[in-house]
Amino acid sequence: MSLIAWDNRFSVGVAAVDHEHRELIGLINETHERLKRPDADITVPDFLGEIYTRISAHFALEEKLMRASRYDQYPEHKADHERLLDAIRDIMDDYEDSREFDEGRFAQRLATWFTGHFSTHDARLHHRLD
Amino acid sequence: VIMQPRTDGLPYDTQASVNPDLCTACGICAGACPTATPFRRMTELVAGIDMPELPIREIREHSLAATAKLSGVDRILVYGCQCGINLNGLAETGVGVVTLPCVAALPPSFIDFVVTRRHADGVMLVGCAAGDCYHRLGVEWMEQRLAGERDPYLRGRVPRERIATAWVAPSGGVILARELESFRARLKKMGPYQKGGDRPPPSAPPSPDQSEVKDVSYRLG
Repeated sequence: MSLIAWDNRFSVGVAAVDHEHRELIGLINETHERLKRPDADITVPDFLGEIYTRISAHFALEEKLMRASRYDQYPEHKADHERLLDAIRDIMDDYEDSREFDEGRFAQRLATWFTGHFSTHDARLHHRLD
Repeated sequence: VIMQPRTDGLPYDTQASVNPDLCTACGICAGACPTATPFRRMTELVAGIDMPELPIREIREHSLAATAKLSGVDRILVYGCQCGINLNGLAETGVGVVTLPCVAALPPSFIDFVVTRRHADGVMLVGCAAGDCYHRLGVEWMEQRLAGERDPYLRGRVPRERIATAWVAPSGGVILARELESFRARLKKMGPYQKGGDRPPPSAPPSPDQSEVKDVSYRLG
């Protein structure tokens, strides 16, 4: 069973952004499954680094679109992006320092953040871009 | 870099294409790429745009090699521009040195990586004198990235007191030496990096709904 299921609320109506939303959800679901296996073929730093890199690129795309359309909520939306990236970096470093990581809890928190962000900031962006 | 229609069938409008007749190999494009991060990942360490002569994978390797030789509580890694002051003798002063075509070829995430992963106690960026960047805007753009005014931002969680800049002319050896010693003294006073202890106050308070990801408790797996 997937951790995050695709919901049409996650669509902003821009093909590139929606494509990346699907990819990110797929990445979270896939790596969550791979990490749970006793013979996991990836490590936690690999997983966290991949998430961090792919999310950084995705946010850059969204921010480029927001700037191009002079979106009025750009500062607030970007601030939310920056907070998540800082939070992921904190978790990456906490793992390196303590080697403790609850992948299930992290994945659930990430899912909660994404569904919340998609259904608030991104939904408003979708409405404005229409 | 020119944006041209997509050729790989993915749902993006354009893709980046480098015009080799205009490219000066400054690497600033790679320094600006959001995927050019040194942190480990599931896929190969390749950025969306990368320098064939100095890919980010090699910058990471050079950074780790340069910092592996350092010791003490005032370990400094210098990222320096090859177009400005000669940095050849700097390694003999007990700092690590990584040379780049332009200081702005360095993705800011490398500064995060070096400081918060404790590979060094501080990072110094050495480039051309202000207003005299060999590649025109490298120094200015790097300063804007550090200040959170130009993407990609240096993450707010990276303590700014562990970063120094020295924009000096090729003849500025004395100035550079002075800046280095001053930075070294400040780092000695600070002691080793402590997550949270070094952290500057957040510029934007987290909204209650969006702080959930950070509030993760851990247990032994």
